[in-house]
Amino acid sequence: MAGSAQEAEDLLQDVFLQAHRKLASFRGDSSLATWLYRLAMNQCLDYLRTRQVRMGRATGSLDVETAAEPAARQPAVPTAVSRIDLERAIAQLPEGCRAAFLLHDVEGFEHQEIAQILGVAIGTSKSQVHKARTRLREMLRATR
Amino acid sequence: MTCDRIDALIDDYVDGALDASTRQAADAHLATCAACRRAVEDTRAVRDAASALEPHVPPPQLWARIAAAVEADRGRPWWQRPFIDLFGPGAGATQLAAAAVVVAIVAGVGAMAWRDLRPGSAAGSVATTAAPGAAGPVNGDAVPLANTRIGQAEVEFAQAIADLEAIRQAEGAQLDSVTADVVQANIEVVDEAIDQSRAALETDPENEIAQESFFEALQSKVELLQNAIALINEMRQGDQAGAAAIVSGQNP
Repeated sequence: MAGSAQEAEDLLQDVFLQAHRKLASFRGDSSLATWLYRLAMNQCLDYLRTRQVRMGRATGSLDVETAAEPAARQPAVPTAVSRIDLERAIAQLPEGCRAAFLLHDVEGFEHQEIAQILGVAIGTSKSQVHKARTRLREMLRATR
Repeated sequence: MTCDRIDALIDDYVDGALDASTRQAADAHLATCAACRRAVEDTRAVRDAASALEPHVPPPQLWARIAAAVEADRGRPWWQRPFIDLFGPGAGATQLAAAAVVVAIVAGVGAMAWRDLRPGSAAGSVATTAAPGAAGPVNGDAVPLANTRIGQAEVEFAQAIADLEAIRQAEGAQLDSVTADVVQANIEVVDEAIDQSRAALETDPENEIAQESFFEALQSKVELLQNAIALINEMRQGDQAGAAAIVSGQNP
């Protein structure tokens, strides 16, 4: 989510500090893992939004729309996508759909769990993953 | 079924979440529509690549740093907590004093390699400082990126990394198994990054992004090994202040 190892390490520390402070408020409504992921995602999204505001850029949201994709007559996504190309492309996604994509396609969560973690509807999780995949298809075609 | 309908269902199709009749209808459309087939193949390629991404493993000292931050948050000295039993008293550090010297040398070599690659530096103007027998690439039996500034710098990094690896292998038994596993996992992740960047450079040696990734990965490996050795050193000495400096990201 953060885009750099150093920022990720700082964020990880912040997440565990937050978890330590808020552990008493965990009521068992969800699994501890889901609670921790939710805490982590909130921390990441807050951080990214603050960073973008600081940098004077528009903040992406969970409802960012993507342009319709012309489907035909484009080069295909390479069948063996390199890690470097993929991570660069993921870093360019709006943070809302990036979070849903990472949780679904990288971490392997189901949409119901993602909805809990991100505090959105299941349909929103599905649409965000769809948008992320569509954007990544476009970006990775360009790397071919 | 229409192309728009396929677009709406494409994720469930790729994820195998469609019921049998909807999937059958989608298959019938895909059999006659090359554009939709391409979209499905591309989506599958993205999903498969994402699911194959290796996790970024935090450096071993980060967990100690987090423990320290949590303890500070609680108003208690972190070294009084059981977590930090990692830093128990150990044997003397004669060999690891030598390691500290090597770390200093490595830092110098690394800085030289980076300096030589800066835009505007004179290509080929810097003599190779690697020790005899250190002319190979960083990983395995790969063909050296010869006759380029990158190849020259890689040789320098390779010597530094080989020296650090030798120390880690010799002293690694000082680490508890969990920490040693974390160090090893980190090294494997960095090695993979080195291999991938290197493969990109072999195809396109002038690609600046590949150059940047390659040297970032090499630098990461050097830093990782330096940190691991510094951690071993402080653990063996039972030097709480030194350990605290490492886990807080400072150079002791």
